Amino acid sequence: MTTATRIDTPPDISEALLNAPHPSRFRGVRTGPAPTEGTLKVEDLAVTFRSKRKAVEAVRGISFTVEAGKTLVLLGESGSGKSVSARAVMRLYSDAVTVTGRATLGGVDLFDLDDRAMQSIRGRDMALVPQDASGSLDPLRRVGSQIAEVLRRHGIEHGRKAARQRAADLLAQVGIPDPARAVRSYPHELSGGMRQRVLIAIAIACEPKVLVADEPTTALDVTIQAQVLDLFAKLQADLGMGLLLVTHDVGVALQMADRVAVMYAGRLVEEGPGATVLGESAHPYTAGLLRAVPTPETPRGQLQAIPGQPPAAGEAVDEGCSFAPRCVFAVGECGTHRPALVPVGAVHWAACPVVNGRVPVAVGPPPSSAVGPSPSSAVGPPPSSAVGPPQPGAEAS
Amino acid sequence: MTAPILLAEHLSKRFDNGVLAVDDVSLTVHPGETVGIVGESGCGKSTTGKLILRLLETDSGYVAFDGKNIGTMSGQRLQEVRKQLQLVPQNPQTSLNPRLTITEAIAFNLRSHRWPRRDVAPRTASLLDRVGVPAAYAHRYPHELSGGQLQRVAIARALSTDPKLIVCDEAVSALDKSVQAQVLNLLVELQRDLGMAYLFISHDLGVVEHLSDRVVVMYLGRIVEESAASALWQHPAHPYTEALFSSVPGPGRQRLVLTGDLPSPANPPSGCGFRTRCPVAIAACAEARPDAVAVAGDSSHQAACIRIGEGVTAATRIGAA
Repeated sequence: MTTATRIDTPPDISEALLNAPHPSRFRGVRTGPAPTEGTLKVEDLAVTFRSKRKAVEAVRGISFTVEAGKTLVLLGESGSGKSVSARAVMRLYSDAVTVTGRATLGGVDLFDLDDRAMQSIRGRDMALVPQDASGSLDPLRRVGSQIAEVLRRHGIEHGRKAARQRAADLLAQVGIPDPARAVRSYPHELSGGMRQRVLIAIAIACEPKVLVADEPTTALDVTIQAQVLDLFAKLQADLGMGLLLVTHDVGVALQMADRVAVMYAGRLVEEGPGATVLGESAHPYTAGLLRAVPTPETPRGQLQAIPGQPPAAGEAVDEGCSFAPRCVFAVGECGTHRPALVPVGAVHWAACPVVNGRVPVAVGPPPSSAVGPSPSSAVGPPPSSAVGPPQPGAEAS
Repeated sequence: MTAPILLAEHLSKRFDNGVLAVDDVSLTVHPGETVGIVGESGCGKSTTGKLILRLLETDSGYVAFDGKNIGTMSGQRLQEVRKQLQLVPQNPQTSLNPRLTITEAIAFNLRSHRWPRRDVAPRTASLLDRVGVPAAYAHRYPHELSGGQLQRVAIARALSTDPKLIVCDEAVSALDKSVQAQVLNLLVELQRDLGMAYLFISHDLGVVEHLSDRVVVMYLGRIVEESAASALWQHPAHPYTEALFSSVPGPGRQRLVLTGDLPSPANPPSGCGFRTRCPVAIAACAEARPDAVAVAGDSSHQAACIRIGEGVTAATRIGAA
């Protein structure tokens, strides 16, 4: 990608010229509508992968909102569809993958844009920090040039020199020591933590309105993870970015989230403020996930594991609740009726008939009997019917 | 106290590329005990495990298993020790032969240790039952099982020869948390019933704390702190241990975030390996490698830091700042 000729003349030249800082170049010119603000709203997103033999429904209709400048954590185990959701919102899948639903960023309908219009949003208004830093950087190019590419592509910096200087500034901003040297490095010359920082520098190069981070610290050691999480918080404060953070790590979610959306088998099972969802969980899966993590208080060998295992991507039963086969609270109707997300507290939703206005489940000892809900476990926020419709995206005030 | 089942003294290993992966590591495991080794990637914890299993030859020092030096053994005698000293590796997808059913995989281990032929089949079946793998899976191949089930098979295979010590190298790290808890409970239950010792190697502090009686913290090939698990979590003494614990993500805690990266193990700093990232390092830290000293007069709690005696820890430094 070194020549401008690869990019076709945009359809409406006069409009493009008005936006272009350098009229002679079309590189960096927006080829579609610009988001007016930073709210990312996803409604009824479904993603299906099809092969000759079968269709895998990885995501089965989820809705969430990342409010401008805030952090939403998509929390789930492997195969729950959390990464697929994030990538689908970025429109990173080809036409071979069926993506339905709606995603809007600052009023722009992302699924309605043509590919070129999407390209001027991706990386500029909305950027991805992928998990695998080694696999996401080009091993044959210096990291400076990989950062400069984004800047030049979106018309932030035009000259080579200026772009390289800005790349060094960005590396300094993400906390890389000696950035002037780092811009000339190849990815293999950097440590894992440094490579992850380079990816973050690429993602924030155009000061996007929303950052989508897919397990950005999972491959990192815990002391480096702490550095990178601090960096996210700092950048968010400095740049006012929204953050959609995909993780399987409850601790990361607790530290980072304004809101948490818990996924299981391609659906949301609970959504609400981070401290509430992870402190007074309403859904048995969330509560079970929290209990399964060892704490200093847990007697040895008495972790409260969730029986069975999570279904592989797309393998979940579609009748009733996907979690019912592993759920200690499951009642007969759980196997036949798919629960909808219902309000269980202020801006807090859960999809469980057991909490459906009847018996909220809080983190605590499991019921003495494994059959049916136990009234003694009825602690937690009282279900409130005064809160809006059971649509987790709708609470933005 | 009973004689240790495993005594490793002054182990060192330098790889051909110059990396000093393990640098003068000594540790002891008593029968029926769980010793955890915790540290970040590249700290030498897995290499230490391999030296103990004699999957790698040590450059110096020795490993004594049940009072006998295994470094000088060969043939039949070494095989006899290997029967007692088994491994649960990290990734059962790659450590189980894809061409053997899980029953065959366990039987293979038994046969290679010349288990009486007629005992092999019933023993295999009862082992699978013991670790909670349904009998219906007995003739399935590894790719037909989930990660959690495979890890149970790997545990059954390690158990098959009645070992006295099992080295678990990141044995639950690849599992989802909800399944990980099941496997951890199984490991504890088996130890309670069968009485073997574990050397549990992991980067996951919560898991190590939960499982271990004693914990060894490694950094850059060396042991920086060793203690009873409970004491270590309540009062970490070495600045690295403090930083490591405080890095575990969670809400609103006083966090001690280290600056910089792990130095290259091929070219470690002089003196204390941690001094380049240490918040309380002083000039003397560069001069000599710190010896392990007792923390607060407790000889079972040792840390390799020259400032331990002064009562200087990273936390006091933060408190002062």
